[in-house]
Amino acid sequence: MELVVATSVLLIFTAMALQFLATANSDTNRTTKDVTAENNVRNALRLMTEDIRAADPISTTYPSTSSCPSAASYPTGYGSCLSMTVVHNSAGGVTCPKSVITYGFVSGAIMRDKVNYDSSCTATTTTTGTTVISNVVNPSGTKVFRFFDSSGNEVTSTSSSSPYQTAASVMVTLVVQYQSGAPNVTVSSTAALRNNRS
Amino acid sequence: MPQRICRTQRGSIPITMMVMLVVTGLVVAILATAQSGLKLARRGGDSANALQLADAGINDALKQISQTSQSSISATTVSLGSAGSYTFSGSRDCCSSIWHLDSVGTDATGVKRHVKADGTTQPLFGNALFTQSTLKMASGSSADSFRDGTTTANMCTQHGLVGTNTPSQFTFNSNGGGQAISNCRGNTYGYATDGCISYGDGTQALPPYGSGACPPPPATAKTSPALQLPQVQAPGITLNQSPPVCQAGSPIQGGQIYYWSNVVLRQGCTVDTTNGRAIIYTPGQVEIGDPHGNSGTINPPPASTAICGNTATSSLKDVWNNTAKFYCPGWAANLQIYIISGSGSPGMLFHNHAQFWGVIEAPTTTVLTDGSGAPHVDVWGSIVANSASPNAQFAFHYDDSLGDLSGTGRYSIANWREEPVS
Repeated sequence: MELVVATSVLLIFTAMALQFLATANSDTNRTTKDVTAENNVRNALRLMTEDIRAADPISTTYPSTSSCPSAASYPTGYGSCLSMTVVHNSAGGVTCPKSVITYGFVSGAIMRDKVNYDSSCTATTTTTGTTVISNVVNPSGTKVFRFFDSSGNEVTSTSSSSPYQTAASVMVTLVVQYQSGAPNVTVSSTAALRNNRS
Repeated sequence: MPQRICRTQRGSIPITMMVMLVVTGLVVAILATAQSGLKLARRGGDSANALQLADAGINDALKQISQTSQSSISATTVSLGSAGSYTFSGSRDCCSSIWHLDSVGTDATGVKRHVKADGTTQPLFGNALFTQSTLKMASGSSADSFRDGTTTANMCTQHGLVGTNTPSQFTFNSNGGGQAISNCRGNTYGYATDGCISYGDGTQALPPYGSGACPPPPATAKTSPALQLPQVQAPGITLNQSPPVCQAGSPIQGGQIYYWSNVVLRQGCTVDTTNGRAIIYTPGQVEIGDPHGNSGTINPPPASTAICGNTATSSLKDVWNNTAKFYCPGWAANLQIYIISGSGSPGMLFHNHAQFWGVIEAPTTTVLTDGSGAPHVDVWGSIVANSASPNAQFAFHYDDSLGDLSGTGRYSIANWREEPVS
């Protein structure tokens, strides 16, 4: 009798524990995916803001690359495509060596192009279409790139690229779906354009 | 009774232990996950701190380079206590007035980030003529530029710029009628200068452009920031109250700094550059040329290929029929005149038909001429002053090499970028 009672209690406890473990495991999985997604977004933002911070200058010519939405142009295309030059160890005020870096939001991913130029301004290495982060689901109203002037006012010009080129900061916003049915992860980071300080 | 109690409790301890073990395991796993996430998040914050520290190092280096006369700044570490530290260094570029800066920021936890940047300064003598305020170009004035006198192209490099911080007070022909004459590009060019620049915060107007004035954009443009001429302080030597008049047979010896009560440079004045350049400071008037008749040449370049290269033997002439030998590269830097701030006006007076080689900085002084109309003054070099209201026409011939002669001492950041931590 005692054995039956003890076994029953143990079974009930075990069932409860298994239920708890199943729930905990599900939560842990979701949390792990959430954390992984957040880390991926953080790493992507780190890379993007590192490049954007050093932009010198932001391009006013829309890049012809599959890493950016096709049939778009500047200035309206700045929200999902940003191309810039980063000058490296130049001597005598020349603008080479340099890298021309492009970030674009296409097919649910942030893509990156990078072309390196040597001190003679000759292209040496080219990488195209590197996926920085996937499962990006920014809705149409949430631009990946937003530009702000030195007074903190958002640049919204649809006629001139100049205010974008001279912007003081760029906010990068990524909305990432890490699991169907779960809330999306939204992370933003603002990079001050160090070479646009006057 | 005691025996019954003992039997009912048998087996409880292992079950309790197992339950506790499972619960403890779960707690430990959850804690480990939380701690890992916390560590990751904290590292992100530490990394951001390190970037801020590295940027502070760049700003510190920027301050240092404006105060040093050396060509490098050795690695300097600044500790901010519990906030971390940064180490910066810098080296002057071999070929221009640019500094290459390097800074590594280290957070209190040891996270490092590495930033490089260039410190750039606006050239002090980057224009043929620059004024901070009023700029009146008399009828017939012009500005062109040269690399040397060996070819007509090198005598017309299209850098003859006139600049001002106050484009609203930049006028042409205000002291006479007619149009400005053409510069080295010939009579069909139709504009007085190769270009004009207005300096300011970006909201300033463009200089006046059109026929007889500045050429249209992009040759005429505006730029930021405003060009603040550095204040000229008296040198730490005794003021000579009776300075010599530089004229034919009485040259200025180079390789020295002079502090004269006033400066008089007459026809035939030269600089003996055997020992270097002549640098003159004065709180008084700078008078260039002769008050009667044509002034002639003041500090003309020597006919020496050792100094002027092939320009010394060139047989070309410019559109004013001046010999190309006048276009000696770098010669203008051998006579530098600095009018001490607060000296007032008239501080710089050019006489009729003076042909002058040199550079002059006069941040609180006005450029004047005592002639009017056609008796024009030729300047091979650069003048930066508070204002300019000459009566006679000027023909400026800007020496391209003067851009690297000296900076304003106010540095700003360019080419800021992150680099991997080595």
